[in-house]
Amino acid sequence: MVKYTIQRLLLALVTTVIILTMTFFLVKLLPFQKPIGQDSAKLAYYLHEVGMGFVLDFTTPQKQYGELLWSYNDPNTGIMHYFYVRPTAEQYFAWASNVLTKFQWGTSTYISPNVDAMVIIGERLPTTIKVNVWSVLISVPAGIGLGIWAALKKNTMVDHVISTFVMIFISVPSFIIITFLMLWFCYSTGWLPTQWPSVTAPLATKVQAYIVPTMCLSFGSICGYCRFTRAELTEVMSSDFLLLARTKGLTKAQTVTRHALKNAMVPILPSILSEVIGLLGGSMILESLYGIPGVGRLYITALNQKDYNVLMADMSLYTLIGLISGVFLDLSYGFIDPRIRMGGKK
Amino acid sequence: MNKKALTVLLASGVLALAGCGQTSDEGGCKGRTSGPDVLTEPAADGAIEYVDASYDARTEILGKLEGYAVDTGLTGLPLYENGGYVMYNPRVVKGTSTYIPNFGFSILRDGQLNGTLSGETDTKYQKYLHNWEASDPATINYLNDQGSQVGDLYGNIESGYFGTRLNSDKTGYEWYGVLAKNNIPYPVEGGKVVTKTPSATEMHMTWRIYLRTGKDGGIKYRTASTKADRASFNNRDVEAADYVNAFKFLCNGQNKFYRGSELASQTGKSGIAGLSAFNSYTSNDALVAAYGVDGLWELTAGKSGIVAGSDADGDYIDFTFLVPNNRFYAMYNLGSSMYAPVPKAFTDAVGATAYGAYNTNKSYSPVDNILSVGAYYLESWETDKLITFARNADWYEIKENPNLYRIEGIHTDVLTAYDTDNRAAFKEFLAGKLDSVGIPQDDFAEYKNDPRATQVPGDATFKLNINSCDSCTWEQLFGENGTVAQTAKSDYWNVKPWMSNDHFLKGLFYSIDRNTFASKRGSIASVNYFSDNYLSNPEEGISYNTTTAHKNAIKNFWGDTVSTGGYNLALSEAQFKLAIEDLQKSGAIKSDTSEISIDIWWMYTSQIKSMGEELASYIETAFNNAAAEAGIDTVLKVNNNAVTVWSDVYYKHLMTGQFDLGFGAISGNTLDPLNFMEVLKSDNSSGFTLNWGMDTSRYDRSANGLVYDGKLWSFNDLWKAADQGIILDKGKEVESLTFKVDKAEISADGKTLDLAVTITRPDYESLDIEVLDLYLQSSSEEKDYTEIYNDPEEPFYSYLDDTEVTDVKFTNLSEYGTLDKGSCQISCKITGKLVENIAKDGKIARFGVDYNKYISDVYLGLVSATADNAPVTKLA
Repeated sequence: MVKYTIQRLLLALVTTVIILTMTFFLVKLLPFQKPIGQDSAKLAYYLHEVGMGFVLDFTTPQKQYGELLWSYNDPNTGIMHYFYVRPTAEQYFAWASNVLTKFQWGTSTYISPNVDAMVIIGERLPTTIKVNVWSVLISVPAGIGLGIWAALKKNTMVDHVISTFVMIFISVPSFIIITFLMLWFCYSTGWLPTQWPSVTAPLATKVQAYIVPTMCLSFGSICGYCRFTRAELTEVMSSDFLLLARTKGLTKAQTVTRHALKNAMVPILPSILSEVIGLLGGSMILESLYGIPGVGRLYITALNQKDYNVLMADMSLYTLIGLISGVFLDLSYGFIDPRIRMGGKK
Repeated sequence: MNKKALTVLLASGVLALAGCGQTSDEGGCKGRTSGPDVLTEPAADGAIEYVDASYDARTEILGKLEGYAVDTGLTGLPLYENGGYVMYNPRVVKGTSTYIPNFGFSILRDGQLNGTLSGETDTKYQKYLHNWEASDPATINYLNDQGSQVGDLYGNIESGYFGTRLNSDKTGYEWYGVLAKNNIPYPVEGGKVVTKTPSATEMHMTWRIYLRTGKDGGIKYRTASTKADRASFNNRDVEAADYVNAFKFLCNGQNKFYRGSELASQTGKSGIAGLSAFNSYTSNDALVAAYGVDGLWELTAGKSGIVAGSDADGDYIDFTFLVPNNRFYAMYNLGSSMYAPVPKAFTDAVGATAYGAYNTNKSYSPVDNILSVGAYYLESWETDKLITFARNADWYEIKENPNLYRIEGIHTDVLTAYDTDNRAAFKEFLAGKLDSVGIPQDDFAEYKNDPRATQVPGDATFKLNINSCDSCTWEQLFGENGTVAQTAKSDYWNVKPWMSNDHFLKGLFYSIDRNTFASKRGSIASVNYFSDNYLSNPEEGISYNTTTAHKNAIKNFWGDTVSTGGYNLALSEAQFKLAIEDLQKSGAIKSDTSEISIDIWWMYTSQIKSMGEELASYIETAFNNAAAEAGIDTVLKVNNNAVTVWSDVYYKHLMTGQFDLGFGAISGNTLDPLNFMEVLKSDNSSGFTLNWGMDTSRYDRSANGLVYDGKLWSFNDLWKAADQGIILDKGKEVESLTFKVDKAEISADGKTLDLAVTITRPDYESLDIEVLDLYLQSSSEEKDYTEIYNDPEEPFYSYLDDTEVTDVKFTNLSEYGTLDKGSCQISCKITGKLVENIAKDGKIARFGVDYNKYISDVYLGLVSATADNAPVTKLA
């Protein structure tokens, strides 16, 4: 088991390196954004890019670096500048070297200029987690509970009503739900804050502000858990071993709680773990519309603005989390169901 | 141009009608033409300046420039003014009920809030004015920002030397001294104030401003920082040196501040002597190491452009401009809050990178990294959420008059939702969370008559900018070796031949029913280049659009269509028909051409629906009608495209030639519109040219040609003559002094430098050249700057004690040091460490002649003719 875990973790690290390398090269394949405006502004831009390690500055023309970005004779210094894009491999090794040897991820160039990329992520992550954790706390019991209820009341009015609502809410895109919730609870009735409040807002406002995002994030999860639980439990309930348990004298409640649920939970629990990990990712649309200063929009903003350092830090973090959580998910099967042995010899 | 800013609001693109006609002299491009040569006026020649012309004369020049630009399509395709309907919460009591152009309602200074804001749950902010921004700029450092958002925030906390306030009867505004003790600057000649009541027409190079300093000045720095090293500046008195430090910090080349570079590169009325050199020198690490920033300041701007002093009236600064200014423009050009004082100890502690922003680990925020000198100070900054400003109760104006700045603070919400929902701010307003908001187009019909709604005129005309380049011109400007931007072959724009056809462009202009288009959006249709905010006589508040010069300027192109908002479908169809004939002749439209297209670029996807589709419909209808009349099956397809980030419409399209039509506009310099016309020059000297296709350096002899003062002009040259003066030789600009190195030899022992140079002036009577000195310097980190004078009593000055200059000779100069005609040879022999340093370099790193330039007796500043990096030979 230990050996298997180590192997999987190492494999996750290797995969991370491959993903990040590919991302770096793909991002760098985007055309270089040349500045415009007065020469002094252009020179300042290029020198900044040189400082960032993205561009090379020579005093004579170079043939081996491909397209000349810009040439300029600086009247202030009398120095001739020839700017070329630094080869992507060189950029990559410089970036990787800083990360591996100094754990320096670089600073933001657009989102929050001069601020360390990891600081930007670290600042936003807690807000995202706080919003999402409520969703998990509500959606897991509610979804599983409704699923159990629907399974136990299979083909009754209760089951039909629950299934209908599940189908409706699972079909409606999340941005529609967000918009609807905001319009109804925030703008029309004025019951809840219209936007995520400032840290200085009264406690009551801050508490109320969790309701819309929690509802929004929970609906889909509740429906998912409900449908999944109902399907699993229904299948287990029709198993021979449960019939045997009943014939041996167990009540229905006893068979459900002692046997059916335990077996039904085998595929459900890993999905809960997955959901918990997923809460680190945030929701781009929700965070944007409700003004939540989380990480949800960070990746897209960094990509659009070519804020490379933030982009790579963001990508690295989530790649690593995703892969390591995969390892934990696999390992969790063994704890949930002892019959499953990860890495065990035949 | 320092007051230009990209408008963040919906900007319009302009279809630049190419003034077709002349053949380009450069690059062999035929380019666009304006018609056959008909004008016979002689080309402008000689040394000419209109810098000191009266407001009326400058208005006439502006009219000529605008007329040429409109006739040739350089001004783009105007749509409507960016004003609209704004809703105010009833609790907002405005300073004046009537909107004053260029000034507004004076809500912060003279207004107040009557009641609380229903949607604000935080009692602390109930009495703050609530506004909003769509994004968090993460900095309040306007010194290094190109847009307008940071400038707006910065303006909340900083003051300029002069500002504006409501006049006594609240019908207009007046200028007054804010950081300056007096309401106007005083002209200075020979170090003395000439008069304290200068007339409106007096032109002077140097203007003195007496400063509010020390305890008597009543101005203290404010910060809400709780960090001990920053809080120590709170309530500290402003000192005279802080005012100077503001310029040093702004223009220090090592800081690489965008606005600093911009100010240093100013060439006209807003240029300040010595700043360009200071910016340049401080960009050189070796020079900074040798002289220090303060040393370089004393060598440059501190010597000639921004000189601090003190007399019986108090501390002052003498500002010397590059060209003469009258009292108003001296005041206006020094009005920016960028020049607000800041102590050196503070800028040293914060550094340029973190100034007004976060430091790398975010332990210091913008609140800690900026000091305020104004009626409000930065109170808090919450990333992506909220920025607040608190009232500075110690501000001297509030102490003098408690009825000013009664609003307790400014609460700026960051509404990121606006990215995906353009009604986000409006919904917040309706929920009682904002004090004012513009009415979105979708809500206009419902709310335009709401008692809370007020119509506000715009400060810019929205336009569709035009790329009317033919392939050859596009290659010159934007090709692989383009002069404006360089584009890889794979990214070349698909240049459409119809976009450089004069008739096609005119068809576009006349095809749009602006009145209908604008009224649907609560705006005012416009065919003007400027909004009414642009004043040709700012002292009397005369809007340029009301002048005869402007009316004449647009008459030729727009004719009777002015009354219909530039719309005439029949005229448009007729122009398109002529275009089709041209295009058929040239082969651009063939018998089997089923479709031609043009691409419009927008800032937001939502604009495609809100504006693009309607505009496309106008254009397609007119063209397709014309095509049907011409008996061809070709149809015009207008493609609407949007960028991901709004500013990309400028940076990736309009400024790089990647468009046919593009929505966008710039505004600024509303009190000096003649200076603003630089943005129409095709050489992109301002960095803000948005319309392309016509070469504005041409002397156009077609009927559209530019004639002023009995002479034929190019757009560029007439603009420069009015902005800073120009010397022309048969239509080509020449230098007022050329510098040629005849001899630069170092003796065999390496100890003596034998110099001989010749300076030559063009022979124009109106040009006067007063030679001041020959200067030289090596690239060494050692201070070795040396000046050589035509003065036997004091032949030279050098930073190095061992420098000796002998055999100094200046030939052909008058007794006053003027070079009246021809050439002057300067020769001398130099010994000392300077020579050793130069020998090491093998060149003279900085080498030139300083001289004063006058055109028609108007002093146009201290100028240098240079031969930097001139090689030296060493004798064997």
